[in-house]
Amino acid sequence: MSGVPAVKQHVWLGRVKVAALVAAASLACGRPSPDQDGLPDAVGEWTATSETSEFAGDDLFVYINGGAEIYHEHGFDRLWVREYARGDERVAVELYTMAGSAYGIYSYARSASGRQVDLGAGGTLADYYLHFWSGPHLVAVTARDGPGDAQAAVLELGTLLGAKFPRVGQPPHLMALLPVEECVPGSERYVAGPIGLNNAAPRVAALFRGFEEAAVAHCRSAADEEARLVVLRWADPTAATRAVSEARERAASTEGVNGGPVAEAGFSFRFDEDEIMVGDRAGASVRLAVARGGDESHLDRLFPIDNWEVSHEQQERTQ
Amino acid sequence: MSSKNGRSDGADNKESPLRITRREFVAAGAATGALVATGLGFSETGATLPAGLAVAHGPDAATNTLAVMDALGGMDAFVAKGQVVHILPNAQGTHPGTSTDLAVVRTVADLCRQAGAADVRWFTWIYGNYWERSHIGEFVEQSGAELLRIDHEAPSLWRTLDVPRGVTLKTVRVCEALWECDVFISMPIFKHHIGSNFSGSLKNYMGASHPEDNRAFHPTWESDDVVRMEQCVADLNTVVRPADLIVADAMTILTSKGPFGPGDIARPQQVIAGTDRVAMDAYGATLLGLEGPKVMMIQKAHEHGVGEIDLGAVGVRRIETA
Repeated sequence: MSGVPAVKQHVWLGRVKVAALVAAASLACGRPSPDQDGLPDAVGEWTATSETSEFAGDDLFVYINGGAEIYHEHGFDRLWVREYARGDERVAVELYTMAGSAYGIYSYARSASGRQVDLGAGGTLADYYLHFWSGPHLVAVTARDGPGDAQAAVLELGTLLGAKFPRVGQPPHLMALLPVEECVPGSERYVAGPIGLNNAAPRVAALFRGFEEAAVAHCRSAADEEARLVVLRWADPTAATRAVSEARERAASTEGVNGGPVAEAGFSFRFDEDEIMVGDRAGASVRLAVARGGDESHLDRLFPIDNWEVSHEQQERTQ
Repeated sequence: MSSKNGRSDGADNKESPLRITRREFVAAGAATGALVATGLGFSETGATLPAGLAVAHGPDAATNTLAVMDALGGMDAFVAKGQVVHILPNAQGTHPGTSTDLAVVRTVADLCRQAGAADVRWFTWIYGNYWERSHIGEFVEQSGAELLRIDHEAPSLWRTLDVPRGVTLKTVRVCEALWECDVFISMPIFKHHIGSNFSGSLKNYMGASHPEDNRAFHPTWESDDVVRMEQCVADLNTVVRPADLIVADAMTILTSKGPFGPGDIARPQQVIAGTDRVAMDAYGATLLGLEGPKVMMIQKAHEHGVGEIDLGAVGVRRIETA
């Protein structure tokens, strides 16, 4: 029972959608043995200090009380958790399995300021934790006592675990539409629904609805102009056109937002706090930039239109 | 372990820098040497309790907790002899900066007992064997408090409430444990949250509302409401029992990837206490670089009349314990 007026829960749509989109990739990846074996009793000099806890489906709400929705939005299937110790060092290992590719949840979970490490299909090491992904799996290794001397230990245990996970999987095609050279490394996010978009780009989430997937990154130009760049993709061009039209209507009825079209398929919105959102549509996709203190030319400088059109055509062909 | 003055770990051989009576405290005001008053100071509301927030900064969580409780007049001002106390901390998980600091929880539990509480209990609806397998069981055991496990499938343990002022939330189930005590103490940790950007006193009540209802707080395409969680939390706060005391942990906090982490960590080394949920969160938001009035959940709760959002009007008393 819920006291909230009945609505269709997006988490379930997201789960089905993600599963459908990447089922083929998942099958191609295969699943490494952790799927069946859980987490081992010992890893090198590290010894398990707890039994393996397993959470499937909605049980994730027990483990991540209040924050499980983003995992479900990315197609959460199963989680194993176990703690390990080596002397006084204590580390928690979480092994998530998603219905499809784990890239999306990896791109959310990893540290934006960490350094890349060569584990699985990609990994990021922060000061006291690391994440890597492989096909449908996301592995998180976290020092229980937080920052300090934990980084080396986390990397060591992560590397030992990583040997079980092959370099399997590629980021979704949509990510290729972001201007990689301009993006701050580690800021790229693949978004599967409204929860992720609201977290990554709340201005955009407030105006645009119903997309199939999105790619978000923080970008900085050679001239040190900064912006959040977003690519949204709908099911078809008609849905994208409707979404842009609805965004204009929402902006028009939102206090503190002023805007108007800059071209037939384009839009720009100005927010009270000297922020601007500029974008345009091509086919089923929209590219946009949100920047503070910018103007309508910001989009093309940070998100060159030539690249966008070429990339978009390539991306459409791969759908 | 108790010290010679009956206080808890972390306070051994160290007198609180603010061991003065509430009467002395109020009289001394900003002139008290150990205090650095940066707000308007405390003002009296009602017959017994001072209004405002007390903020203690220093490296030791237990000492900070003792300091803020002294600043609010001591635990005696909140707990009388023979009373039953229920405590709701945030026991999110093992990742740093996600759960209320154990030293803060333990110190509050100790102070309740010293004030003469007949029973001090935690309550939670977290179910299954996760409790035993996680650090939370250890957490409870070390706190010395009893544990009430709320079976979320037992209707008698839940009170269904209409939310007449609810904008989004119309009814909600809240565990009876919130009312089945003489004193309710909320013990959040201030941290980031993916759904609302901030988690603190207001959101801590989702630890008392039914987990199935909580899931409907999140935004959906169909709801056309991207600030759904913020609104639901604000709505929820209009019908729950207000905490008799809030003691919030901001020693080590998660500033990204909340509420669960792992993510970026900050170490404000603060403990904050008060009775106003909105004011507490308006202050807590600043520790994450946010402005309280611009955090939708806090703003909406204020609009509901849950509490005061203007920290200047509330008064913030700062205490250095280092």
